[in-house]
Amino acid sequence: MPDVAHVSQAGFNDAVGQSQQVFRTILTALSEPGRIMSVTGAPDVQLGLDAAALAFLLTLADGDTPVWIGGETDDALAAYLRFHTGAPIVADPGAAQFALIADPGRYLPLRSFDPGTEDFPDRSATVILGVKAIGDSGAFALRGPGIPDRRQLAIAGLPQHFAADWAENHAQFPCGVDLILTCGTELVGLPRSIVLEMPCT
Amino acid sequence: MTSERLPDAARAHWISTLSLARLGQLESFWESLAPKPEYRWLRPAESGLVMLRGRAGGNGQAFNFGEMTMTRAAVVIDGPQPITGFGYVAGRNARHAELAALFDALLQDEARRPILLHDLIAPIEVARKQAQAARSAAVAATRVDFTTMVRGDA
Repeated sequence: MPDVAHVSQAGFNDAVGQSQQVFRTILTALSEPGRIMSVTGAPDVQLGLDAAALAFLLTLADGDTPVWIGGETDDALAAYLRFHTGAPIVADPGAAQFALIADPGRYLPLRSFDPGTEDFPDRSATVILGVKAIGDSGAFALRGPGIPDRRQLAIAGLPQHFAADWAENHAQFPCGVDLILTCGTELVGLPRSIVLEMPCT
Repeated sequence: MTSERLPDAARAHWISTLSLARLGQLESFWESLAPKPEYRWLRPAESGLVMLRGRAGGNGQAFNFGEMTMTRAAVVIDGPQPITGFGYVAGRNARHAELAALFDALLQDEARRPILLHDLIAPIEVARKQAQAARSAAVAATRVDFTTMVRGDA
């Protein structure tokens, strides 16, 4: 069983500088939903998640933010995150502040995660979802705060019931989870306030 | 991953010795080391605070006693089995933490251990004991033994 003593892959080279840059990138991504942001400086490690997702967790996860990574609590990724961020890795998706779904095949409905409370909606979880491809000017239309009119986005590899799931999440506003879509070094922010119009299929 | 676990007490002992060494001792040994191993940072040196727990006054429950500054680092020496070394030192000296981590990794290598224990760890301990003895002697020289007089009202 891998424990933190057997982690041999490095985190950020320059933890302060790089995490500040990634933080700024995430902030922009969430304040301009649907804008494709590129993350630089993620360590080159093979742990089965996108570089952008890794940079996100290295930047934001710490000892106060339980992380859910698909229910696994003792694999190489769990040991890596425990070592470099100190975050507790939890098996219960409802207990997590950050949830990582690196592979859409292991998607859980968004209602599995903590939506916050009416009094403290800011305590909700943030879900990181890895997708196959993200591109500008696709069939998805985004509307909501941070977008002047509407923004087109192409997303490939979303789970099957995502449209209904997102509508349900959005309807809970001010509660609900925020979503970060990642693909390689790119990420897109999708806060709960956004209405997502899906292509009719 | 090491197949057989090292005796923890032995490792704890050398980690402790490396942390308490003077930087000059580690640095000069590192200078004289040839060939130098290839290594990379697992976690570059970083300083922070640790909470110390203890019993103020020596009795009662251990409680948060105070915080102290520490610097830690972790290195990896790649090989057939990567070896990870950790260095934790008091204060803010990053180089000390780096060298302590590096030597911890080297000491886990069976082939290097006997030489390092003999040439690095043992001299550091001798120097520490001497320094302690010298300090005890210096303090002892100024010791004043008070003669307690019997109180008059006894």
